[in-house]
Amino acid sequence: MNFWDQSAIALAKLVRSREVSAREILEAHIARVEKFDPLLNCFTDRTFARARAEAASVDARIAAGEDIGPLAGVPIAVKNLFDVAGLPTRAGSKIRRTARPATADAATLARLIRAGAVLLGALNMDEYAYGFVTENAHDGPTRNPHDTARIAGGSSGGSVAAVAAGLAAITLGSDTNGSIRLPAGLTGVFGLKPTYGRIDRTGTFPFVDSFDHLGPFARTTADLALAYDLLQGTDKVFGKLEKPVDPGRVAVLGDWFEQGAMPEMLEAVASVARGLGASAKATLPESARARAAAFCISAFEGGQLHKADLRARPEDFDPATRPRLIAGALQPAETIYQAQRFRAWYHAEAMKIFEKFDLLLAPATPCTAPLIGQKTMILGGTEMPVRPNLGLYTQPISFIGLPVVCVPVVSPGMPRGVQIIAGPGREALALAAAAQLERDGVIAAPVAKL
Amino acid sequence: MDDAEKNYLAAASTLIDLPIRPEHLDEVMAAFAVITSQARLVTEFSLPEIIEAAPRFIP
Amino acid sequence: MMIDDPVTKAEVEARFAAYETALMTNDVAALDNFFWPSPLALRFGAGESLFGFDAIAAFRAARGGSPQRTLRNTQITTFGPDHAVATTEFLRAGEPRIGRQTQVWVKFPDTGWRIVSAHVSLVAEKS
Repeated sequence: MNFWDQSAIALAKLVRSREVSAREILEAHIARVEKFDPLLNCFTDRTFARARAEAASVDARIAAGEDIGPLAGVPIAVKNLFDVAGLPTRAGSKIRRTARPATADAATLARLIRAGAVLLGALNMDEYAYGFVTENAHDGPTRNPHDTARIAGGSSGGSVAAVAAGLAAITLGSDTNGSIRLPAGLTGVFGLKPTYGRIDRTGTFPFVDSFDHLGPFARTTADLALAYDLLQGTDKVFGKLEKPVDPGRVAVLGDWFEQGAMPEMLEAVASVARGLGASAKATLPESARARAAAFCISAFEGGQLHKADLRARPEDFDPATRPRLIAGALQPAETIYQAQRFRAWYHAEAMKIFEKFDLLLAPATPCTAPLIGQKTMILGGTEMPVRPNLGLYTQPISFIGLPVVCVPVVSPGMPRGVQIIAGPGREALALAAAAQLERDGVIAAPVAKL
Repeated sequence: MDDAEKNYLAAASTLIDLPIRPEHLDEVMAAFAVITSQARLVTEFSLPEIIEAAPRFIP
Repeated sequence: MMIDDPVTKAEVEARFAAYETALMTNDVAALDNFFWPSPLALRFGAGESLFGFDAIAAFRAARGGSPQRTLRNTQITTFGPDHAVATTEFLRAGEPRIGRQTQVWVKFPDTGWRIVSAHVSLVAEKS
């Protein structure tokens, strides 16, 4: 058995039953990281000594009869904006490489470790999370395991590529305008962006307080649901994945969410709709403005957060983020105020739709993964820049904090992700839909052939 | 970029003490132009007066 | 000084668990190796006070095993890279009183993690 292609749940079962030691499972993952990460560039920090100590602890405690948690011996990793005790939290930057090391793990990471997981390291991202590509000027690009000439997406590129390549069973990332869903879609893994405010952000480096979310990646719905349960204590979904989805209450989002989409992405959404027995369409009005509002607020809050460094040492920023942060910080207050008012309006419009429907479907991205370094792409017959436009369909949704499961549709060629969007607090519904689609073979996340 | 935007950028940069280095000016102006066009989509939309800003302060 | 550095914590957790396994299987040789070989090592047991490694080792050799128990509310806190305090409650079959165990662990350069001081007691019966 190759341990690196097993689900977290399967690995934990092997460890808890003492069929395989946590140590053996860890060493298999370490060997795989050492073999493939030089090419893929997922990891910016490796914490193998720590992982080995944790695996030894898990094995010793199991031998002593202790009931280790549901992630016993499962190798995990986290985006490098999560605090890892003893490491500076670099958040994809050069500036923070010399920050004081974190004194404790981020709250979410600590929860997974308490459940028995072992930490492989910290993962590459776009600088300060301000990107959809993970082409980091300081730490290099992260490559898509399905085609290493292509991007893994961002800003959680290292997190998704590590799961897609079988380097870790579960990873954590963040999503402000799409940084969980978009890269999950491009690399063919499951990603969950929970409801805004659901997950404790203690011990993570921020980007846009108005929109920041944290969430897990995995290769199965069950693993995703388990990770979600462990990351917060109020919503227990793991036992509710069998709940059947009401086809009449699922709709495909039209209008903005179809404009400019490549045919294969629309096909992917159609597969998911068919799989759920859904035929309805729904429209979220003025989604172009929602995206614009999120765009402006993000640039503003991000720019303001980094203002001191932008003044003192602008040359130390990634050239891709620097001008957007500076320009963002200089916006007139009116834009931001009106954008926040528009947010209230857009949220109300979405809530009207959720009276009729439980789940809404949209592509995670307008196209499959572009090449590393690619500057422009053709969407809807128009040439447009890659970087800002990859997040067209994710940005309006995170703008109003709706929970989303991004699922990998079984298809030829490069991965295609679909957003299963639920109303606020209804993660369980989206996860149940994903579970059903996975059972029926419509979605799957096999490890990439490397 | 029109003069109004250029002047605004220069003035705002001074006013809030966020200098733009000469070698960064072009890229910042380009980024600001993108933001301005996005901002227009927001501000041109007429919202009912009753709509308040989304974030709520709870003392 | 880092409190609960993950590597240190994992090391002590592993040692704590290995001690518990040795205790429950009465592996006397292993049990001895968990204690600091010094006259300053100390173990206040439920029924006896043992001063020095030799006294502790003699007690183990004569004991013939410790009653089987289950642990609860185990807490391990590490201070810097080489100090830790481990506390736990325990329940023994047929014993209504809750037991408590405290261990002070120190990591020595040559011999690794050792218990330098331990205390075991049972909560007094309510009258």
